[in-house]
Amino acid sequence: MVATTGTGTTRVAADSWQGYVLLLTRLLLGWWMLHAGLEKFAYLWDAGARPFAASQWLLAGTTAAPGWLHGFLAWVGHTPLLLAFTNVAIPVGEVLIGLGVLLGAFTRLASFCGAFLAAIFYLSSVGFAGTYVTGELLRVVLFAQLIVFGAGRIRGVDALLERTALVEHRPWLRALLG
Amino acid sequence: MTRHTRPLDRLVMWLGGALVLLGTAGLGLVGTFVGERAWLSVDVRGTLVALGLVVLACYAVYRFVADERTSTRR
Repeated sequence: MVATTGTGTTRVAADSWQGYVLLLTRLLLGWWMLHAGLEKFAYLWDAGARPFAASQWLLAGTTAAPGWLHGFLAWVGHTPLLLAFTNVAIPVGEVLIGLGVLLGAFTRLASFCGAFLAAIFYLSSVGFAGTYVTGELLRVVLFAQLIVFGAGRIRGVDALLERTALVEHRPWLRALLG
Repeated sequence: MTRHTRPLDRLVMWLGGALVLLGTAGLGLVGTFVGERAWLSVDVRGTLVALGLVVLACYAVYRFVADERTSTRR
């Protein structure tokens, strides 16, 4: 069912029940991220939708964050270049992370970026939740599970990528796959 | 399954997890009984969770670098 890979991480067999649960987790999480990204591009096909604007979130939506983080995010919101970057990076990042996780391509890299993004979202509004446990924090934990169990190798593109000559000759790439 | 035999590995994993749990469940439980206090503010609890996540993220990066070196040497 489970074994240790060459890089010291756990590998779950695709046809085990752990494998199916892991695959389900990966597909749901991938869709969650992909949808979050796609809906920010809805203005491209829906005349009623507006382009994503991070300024509202950065300036007014982060007041429940720890002071140092709110200060930093508000500074980003007031800096035109960084604001323009954020307006693009969040939707594009969510789409790429969602696609990577959904397809199981560069799963570890996508999951690490997803966990980072989810952690920022979580911390930016952590004070709103009385328990301090929110869907965003659980998303961080789920991404961590995809990373440690090598979820991309289960019916994912990474299983194929790992067998290519490119990866065979550059073993460090395995840290980003799987 | 995964190797966590080195004491430093276990220490870092425990530290990261403990900071996250302290900021969420630990101080949350205290706050349930003692009510709002300055030392239970979002600045304190949020920062503890953030520190825990940073520790775990750094550990994840370290693990993959260290494991890759080990597997390359084999």
